[in-house]
Amino acid sequence: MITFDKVNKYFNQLHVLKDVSFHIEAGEVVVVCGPSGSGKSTMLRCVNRLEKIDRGEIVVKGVNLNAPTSDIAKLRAEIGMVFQHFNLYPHLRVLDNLILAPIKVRGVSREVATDTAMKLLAKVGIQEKASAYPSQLSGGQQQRVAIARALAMQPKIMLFDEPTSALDPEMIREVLEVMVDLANEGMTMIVVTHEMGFARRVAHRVIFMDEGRVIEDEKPEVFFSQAKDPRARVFLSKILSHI
Amino acid sequence: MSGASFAIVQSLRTERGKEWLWRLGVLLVVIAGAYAARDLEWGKVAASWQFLLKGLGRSWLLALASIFVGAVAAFPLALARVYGPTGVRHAATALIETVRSIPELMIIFWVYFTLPLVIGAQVDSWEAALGSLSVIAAAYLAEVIRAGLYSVPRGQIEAAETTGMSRLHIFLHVVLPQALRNMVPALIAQLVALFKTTSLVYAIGVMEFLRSVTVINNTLFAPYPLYLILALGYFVSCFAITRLVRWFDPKYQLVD
Repeated sequence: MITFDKVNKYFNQLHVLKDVSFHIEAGEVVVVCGPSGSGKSTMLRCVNRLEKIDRGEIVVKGVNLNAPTSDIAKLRAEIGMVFQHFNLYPHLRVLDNLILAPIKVRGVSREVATDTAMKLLAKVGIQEKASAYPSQLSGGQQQRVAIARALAMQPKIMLFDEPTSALDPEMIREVLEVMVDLANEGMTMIVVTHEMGFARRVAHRVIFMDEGRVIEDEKPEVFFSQAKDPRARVFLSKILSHI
Repeated sequence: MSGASFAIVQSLRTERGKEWLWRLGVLLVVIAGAYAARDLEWGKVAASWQFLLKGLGRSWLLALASIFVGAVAAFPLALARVYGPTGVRHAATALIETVRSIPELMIIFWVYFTLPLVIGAQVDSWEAALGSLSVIAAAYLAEVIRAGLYSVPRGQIEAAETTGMSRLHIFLHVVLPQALRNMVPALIAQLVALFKTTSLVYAIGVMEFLRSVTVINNTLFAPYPLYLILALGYFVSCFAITRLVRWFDPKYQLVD
């Protein structure tokens, strides 16, 4: 469903992605981790072409992202994305955050979109906040709304860019639980995160990146117990015990 | 006794109490001002009130008309400067920066004295005033709009892009509503400045408020009451503009 083939990207002189290659099947949940600056967020943002690449090839759902003829907007509608800082629309109520894209992109009627949106809000456990503004919600609630907003487009792939990094510890769980449910339903997911408990529980694979390269691409049980590369082992020892 | 006065002091500490205390203060200042001004030659100028009011009306008409025309022109200018292709962007930038870096009076004189030579037709002072003030308004308001557009965080646009929304839809439903909200403070400042700028067309003979006051003063010679009226007229007008824009300001809170 998602294929990276020798992808290279530069920010001016800085070589941020170096020959990144992997393949993700439909229904797979892949956790991406690595030290800050390792290129994991950039890699994720390449999947829906928020970032353009300089060399290599990315094919998502059979669409080549580099081909000038590709309809990127149409592809993006099929790929949901959740950001570290939620990026909810502050001028719109929660419900309107959810129904904007379905109405404008899919041409769904307001009634149908509202119906779907309310079901999704129930699913993430905050239907009572439908008429609140984002600023009236806690961080955990905002992130759950953001997930529901992405799901409202009924995507085939979900991308998560450090979805719990901006949250207070007591709110991380409520967001992770929504993501676990989603994984168990068979959603194709790429999750950039340091939540190794989440990786253990639902990930099919863990990709470890460092300095723009994919260092490890393993099943979680293998990655956690017998990572081959010393950089991965150092990283794991650092994040599994903070003190 | 002391209990009652304590209760009064406590009630003044609330938000409502402070608000009323402030109003009382303003009232006292106004009364003191009126008392201080009581001996000015009010009888002398009283008969001219209609003439002065007409002048103030013309100032308002100039301000509203030039702001309207200016705003209509400012939107495409700002859009060209923010989203336009390189050539268009440079042209819009050059236009805006040129107008902004020339003294307003200079622009007024150009439109009044030089434009007739260029177009070979007479431009009366009212037309010149409207034209030059509109040009000024367009340039300054374009910058207010541009700042508003830039104030919308990149993440907002990305979030909308990832749902597959078109650039037009993103602009209309995500960027513009937030930009309008964010530009309110700068907009108030600019509209107030533009209202006061209308006084400059006094120099080409338009009988707006400043000129009306001056003309009356030339015949009656009562500068103290007249210039007090002048100051009050501009103050009340600018204050009204501030309140009017705030009234349109939607009441939601921005996150972050």
